Amino acid sequence: MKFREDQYYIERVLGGDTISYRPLVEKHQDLVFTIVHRIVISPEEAEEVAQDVFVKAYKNLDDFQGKAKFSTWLYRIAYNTAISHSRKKKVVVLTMEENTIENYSEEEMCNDIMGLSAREQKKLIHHALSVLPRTDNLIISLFYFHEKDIEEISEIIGMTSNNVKVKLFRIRKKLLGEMNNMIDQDINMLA
Amino acid sequence: MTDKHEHNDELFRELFRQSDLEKAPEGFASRVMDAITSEEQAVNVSPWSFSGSLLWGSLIFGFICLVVAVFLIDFSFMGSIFEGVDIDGSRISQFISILGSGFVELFKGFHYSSLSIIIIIAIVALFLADRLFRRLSTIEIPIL
Repeated sequence: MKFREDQYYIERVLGGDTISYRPLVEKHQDLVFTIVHRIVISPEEAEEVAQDVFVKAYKNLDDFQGKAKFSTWLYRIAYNTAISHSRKKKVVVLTMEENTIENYSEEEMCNDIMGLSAREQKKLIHHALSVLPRTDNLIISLFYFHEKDIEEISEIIGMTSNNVKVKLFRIRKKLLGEMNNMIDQDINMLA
Repeated sequence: MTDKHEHNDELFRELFRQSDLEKAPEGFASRVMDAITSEEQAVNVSPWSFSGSLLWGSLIFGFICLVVAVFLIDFSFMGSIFEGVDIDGSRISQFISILGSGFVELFKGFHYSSLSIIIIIAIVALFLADRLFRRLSTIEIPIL
């Protein structure tokens, strides 16, 4: 489905045409759901929170001043809502051992991973992402999965661009370490 | 960025390319629109709750009664109302005036010192601050 510019729908909604909000939802629902799902692990809860995000954005649409892109504004609401939901639920944030990173040379790790089949690689990255701390998972997903630039990620997460760059560097190392650990343990467990 | 980092970067791009993009569940947009519609209906209905209307109705009725009593009713009959009962009407009006002046006297004896004014202001400010913080803690304000 082809969509018009966000601003077109926003103006219509602000003019009282509620139905025009639907294309905005359809256009951004996948990424909002992804952001929320990376922080709130349960898919049922993620759907509930994602729905809450769109309702909240609708109610506050007249506060959107157009300084940032609508998508960035919306994704930021999604991130904040998901974080406050997980705080209320006291979700345990997963942490990956830092020392798993230091024992390997990056080149070795890359070569090991490259040597796997596409199916194994897919399972490997999926598993490694699942043990990352949630915000780290979101940052790397936004960067590689959704191809958002560092500037936009920093606006969504509320960090400086430099912080995001440093985080990305460390997350890549963590992921490589975790994937290599898994290869060492037994890749067949992933099959 | 060094060659090694570019190499890593390429590896991750490749790994993520193979993964599936997450999709919102089927019918998600319809559920969002339903939620928005029902919220809007609730907002349109709620100001006219029964208890709210009763309160406002009572206040308005009371105010109208007061205006009518003060400006439209001629109370001169009050003096003659007890004539047949052998009660001195002037005593009743005297009683009413004593009652009124007693009410005024009640506040005449009430003196404000600067300390009491500060205490009253502090109590009012604390009450307002409490209300304000309670409200802020229940509203999530988007940062952008």
